[in-house]
Amino acid sequence: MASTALRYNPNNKLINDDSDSLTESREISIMQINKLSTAIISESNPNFTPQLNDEHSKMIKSLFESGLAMLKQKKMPEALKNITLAVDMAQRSRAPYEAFGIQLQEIQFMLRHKIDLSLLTGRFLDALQDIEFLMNTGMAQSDVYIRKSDALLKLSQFEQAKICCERGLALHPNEVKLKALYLEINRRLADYNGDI
Amino acid sequence: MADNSTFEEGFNNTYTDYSSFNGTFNGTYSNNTNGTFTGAEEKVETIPISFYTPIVYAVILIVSLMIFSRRYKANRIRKLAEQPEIFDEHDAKELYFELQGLSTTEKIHEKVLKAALLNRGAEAIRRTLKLKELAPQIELMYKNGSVGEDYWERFQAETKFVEVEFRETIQEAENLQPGWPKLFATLCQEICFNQALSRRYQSILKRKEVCIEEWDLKINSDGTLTK
Repeated sequence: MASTALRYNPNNKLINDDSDSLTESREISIMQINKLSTAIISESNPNFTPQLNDEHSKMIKSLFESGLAMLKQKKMPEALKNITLAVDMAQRSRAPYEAFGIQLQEIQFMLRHKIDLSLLTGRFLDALQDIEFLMNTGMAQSDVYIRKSDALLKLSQFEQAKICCERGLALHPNEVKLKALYLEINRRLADYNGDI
Repeated sequence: MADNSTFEEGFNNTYTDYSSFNGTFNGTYSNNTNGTFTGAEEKVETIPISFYTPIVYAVILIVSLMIFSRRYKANRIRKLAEQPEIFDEHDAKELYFELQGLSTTEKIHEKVLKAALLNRGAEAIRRTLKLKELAPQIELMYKNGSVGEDYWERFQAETKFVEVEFRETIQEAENLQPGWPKLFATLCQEICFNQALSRRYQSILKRKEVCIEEWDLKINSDGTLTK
């Protein structure tokens, strides 16, 4: 136990560990405690409940809606920027004890829009990472598989795209778009291997 | 007649032998059963036993069983303690105790201690959930013989440790703020899930770097692919 390495800053009420042997899990734990401390200190109610903070909700909503407004004006990069900011704010400003169910729905909804915009603006790697996040949080709808296969195809990762498409078809065997994408991936893979 | 007498003599002799045999048989029989019993009963010597003898016997028996049980338990606990744990780090718990230790030498905001305790409780919940997720598979593997007795015992011990750990955090919550444990468990659960979400979100950037390196991608500053 590296008890001597832990430091407490009485000014900002944060803890840190500047030892050389700091492990990744300990670093994550320190970050989590600091985030919790900041959230609890700003909370005046000692018996705080997992309710959502209305102020944060309003700010996130206004940023997201401004992104959608940009999208209607066909200003894709600006729309993407605003929605990205809204997603970041949802992750940074919300207290860790606020209701998880609502936070999850909120972030999934915003990320779906962000993914579409990333794919439209050619940011396939960003889109792929966001899709991975959606899948890690339990989303397994056909459109997630379609977008992931598409992003992998655009990144020329044909084998990965084929695996993803097959997995999507296993879960949604009647999805026409996935079937069409599967044929396209096979054609591109054959082309890449010199079979055509 | 002579023949007859010889026969009679012989017969009588034989008969006499038989009667002697019968007599012997009966005698032996009597000796083996009633005769012997009656004879032994007469010879029994009564040894005076103290009233406390059975009590002393029972006490010795119980005490020896208790000593055996205590030693057996201590041995089992020692063996369990020597086994490697399933979770190899306890950062959340250690950080809480380190902060508590620091609070004896310098003034630490009470809410920082609360935050460390909430983090510890959330970690205990995360571990409980992980073990519950794993339980059916490990049970199946144990029944199939894929994992040994040692691992099965480790798994069961770990489940109990995690339960004890969460109970301890609730007790600490009561010490920090009386009446808080009612809310504490709910808060820990929300924190546990939100932290999991946050970790996944933060891993996006790292994963992106790995993809760029592994797939040898050329990415522009705006995130688009270089043509």
